[in-house]
Amino acid sequence: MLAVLLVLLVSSGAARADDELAHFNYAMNCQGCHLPDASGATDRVPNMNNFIGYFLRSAEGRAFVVHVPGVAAAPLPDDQLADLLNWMLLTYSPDQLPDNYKPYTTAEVASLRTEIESDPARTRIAILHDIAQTTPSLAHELANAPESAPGHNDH
Amino acid sequence: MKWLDSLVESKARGLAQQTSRRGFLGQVAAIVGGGAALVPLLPVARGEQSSSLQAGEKGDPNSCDYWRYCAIDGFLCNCCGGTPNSCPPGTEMSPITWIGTCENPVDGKHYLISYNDCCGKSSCGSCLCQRNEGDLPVYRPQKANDLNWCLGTKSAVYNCSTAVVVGKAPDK
Amino acid sequence: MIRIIVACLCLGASSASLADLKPEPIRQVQTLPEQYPAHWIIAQDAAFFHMSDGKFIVLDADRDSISEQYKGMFNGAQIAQFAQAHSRPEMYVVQTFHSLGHRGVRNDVLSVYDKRTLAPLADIVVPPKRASILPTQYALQLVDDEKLALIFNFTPATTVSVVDLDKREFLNEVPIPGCALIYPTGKRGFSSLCSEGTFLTVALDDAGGVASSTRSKQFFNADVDAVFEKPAIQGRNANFLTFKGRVIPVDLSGDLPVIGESWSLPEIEAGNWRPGGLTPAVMSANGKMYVLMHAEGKTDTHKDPGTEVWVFDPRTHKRERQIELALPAVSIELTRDTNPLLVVTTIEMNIDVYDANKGTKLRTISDFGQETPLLLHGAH
Ligand code: HEC
Repeated sequence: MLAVLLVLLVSSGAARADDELAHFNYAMNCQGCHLPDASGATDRVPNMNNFIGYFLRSAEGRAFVVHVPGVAAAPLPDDQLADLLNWMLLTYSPDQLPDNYKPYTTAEVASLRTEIESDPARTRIAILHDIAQTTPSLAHELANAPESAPGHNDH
Repeated sequence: MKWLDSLVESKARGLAQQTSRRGFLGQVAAIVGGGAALVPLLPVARGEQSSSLQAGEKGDPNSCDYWRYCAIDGFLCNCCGGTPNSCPPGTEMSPITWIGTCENPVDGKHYLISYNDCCGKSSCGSCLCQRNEGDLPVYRPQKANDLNWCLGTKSAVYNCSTAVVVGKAPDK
Repeated sequence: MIRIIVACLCLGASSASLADLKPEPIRQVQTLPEQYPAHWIIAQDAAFFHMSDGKFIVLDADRDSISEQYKGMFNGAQIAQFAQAHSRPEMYVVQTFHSLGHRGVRNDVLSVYDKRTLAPLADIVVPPKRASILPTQYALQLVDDEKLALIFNFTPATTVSVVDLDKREFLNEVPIPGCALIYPTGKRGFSSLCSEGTFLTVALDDAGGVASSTRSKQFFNADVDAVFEKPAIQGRNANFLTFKGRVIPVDLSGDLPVIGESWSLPEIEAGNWRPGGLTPAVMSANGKMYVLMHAEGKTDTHKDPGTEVWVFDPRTHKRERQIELALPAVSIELTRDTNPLLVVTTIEMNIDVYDANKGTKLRTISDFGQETPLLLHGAH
């Protein structure tokens, strides 16, 4: 599935060099915690595979993706960070993106990343519940997954 | 795992003026490791390639100087019953880790190396290596030398470190 | 030698005039004073080759023989972290156990040790998330007149556990996203250093919850010149050093950190002297800053052992003295008094003791069962 997507992306030609850099930046800056397939680690790092696209269904969610510390404080310039996020969304979670999905722009990322979430674990739940109201597949997933918020489990 | 810092190799180089490298290592090894622990820092006479290495690489994976270990810190799994990219029997590889790049001298290309720790048994104790390239304090966890990365494993107990090739850097 | 003399005296005396040895009571155990003498130190040994058996060894650094130096020991498993109270005879160790030794259910506890008996008074269960990180002063700190203990967690999400030391219970977990470690700030708050070069400062409420959470302006850039996460601190006055030898004074006494005018360590350029090691800098009770320095410093030498300790006056920015070490050191510490000892962990993993004011070496403390005593604490 991933392989197919990659082939599709790669074969679109023009974007190839950018994608390669985006993939590299993901591997260098994110993959250590999020894993090569973006599946994360139970109770510790949230799964983004077939999931992260949901966040783009609300303005708050779209901002949240940039406000998490791993993204906002990533040691990357704004344009490369925007490319990375767009590559990540299409590679790992294309099916969850909204129909009117628009990629992040450099200017948008530059302005959003000046703010860092003060309590990501709590904010994400609130945002996801909002989105789930109008997104049955997400509502279904949330109902089936025990809500273990990374950073706030165990007690 | 990236934090057995003070004890090892790059430090020895820094101190070369005062003490010979072998002398320093010998001292630390004698006190810290009961005599033998750091000896494998020095090139060890042994076969060129272990079975887990790929055709396009060369060198001694028991030596800290091996190309994949350019940012490794800890005990080499290759000396602990594992290989450069696999864990010793009965341990569990941590999914969460830090990642850097190293240059493969055979093809001159830069590869992404994932330094996953093996967890669930106590310190292996052999082939202690530490190369401090690019280390930053823990406020940059992805580059932090001081952390035990046995995270997301059943046990937080550290055994040894691998160096898995997970990709290639874009050509310059 | 003394034994021989005694033996000779005995031989000379008639055995009938000597009283018989008295039977001794069994089960005698030593105790220590409530406040430790000023020249006692606590050596923190994470025992890297046997991490379930980490140790904290109480030593009298004024003495010359091991039996006089070694006062006692207490344990801390899996790279424990340590703090001492000044207002009550307690010490704290946050440590990790698995139910079956190296495996099984993970339990993290904050152990409270009695300074007089070195026995545990309580083991407070905390979330099993504490950072497994090279020993540092800043992963366990006390605030609110030592009523609260704060523990740095890394899962890899970063949070701080708040523990009530009076009630001996865990209160709350505070998120510090993208930030790390704990620098007590104001009355009941702390600051953490963040990836993008800022402080995140959290003020706590009565219940250990977040009263406010504030990010400072960027005051360093880790990609250009990173700050050491181990400042030289006296009370709430901190001096953060950078890898390249700048000093950033930070006043942590108010609700928010006040970042002062930075200055450069003088006289470092000839020979490229740089601060480094695992504990690069400490403050003396007289307000002098002692810095562990190595020559030929460059990128990636920031943890190299130092061959000299330089003494600066942070008020005048002048270097006052240089102490040439007999053997390179990885960590330095001062005792708490105004006539302090400078104690250093050498590359041989022994402790060298210097008269800090005179700069002369007094002795080496060795063979005390240590493996990797990488962090030293002046006792209180
Ligand atoms: C040090 C480990 C670490 C690194 C490095 C890291 N992250 Fe994360 N990331 C986390 C954790 C932990 C969370 C959960 C939120 C929190 O508590 O911070 C998270 C949350 C996220 C989320 C929100 C997902 C959700 O479902 O809530 C996104 C998006 C994300 N990270 C993207 C990235 C990207 C892109 C990078 C690289 C530029 C990156 N992260 C680097 C650990 C990391």
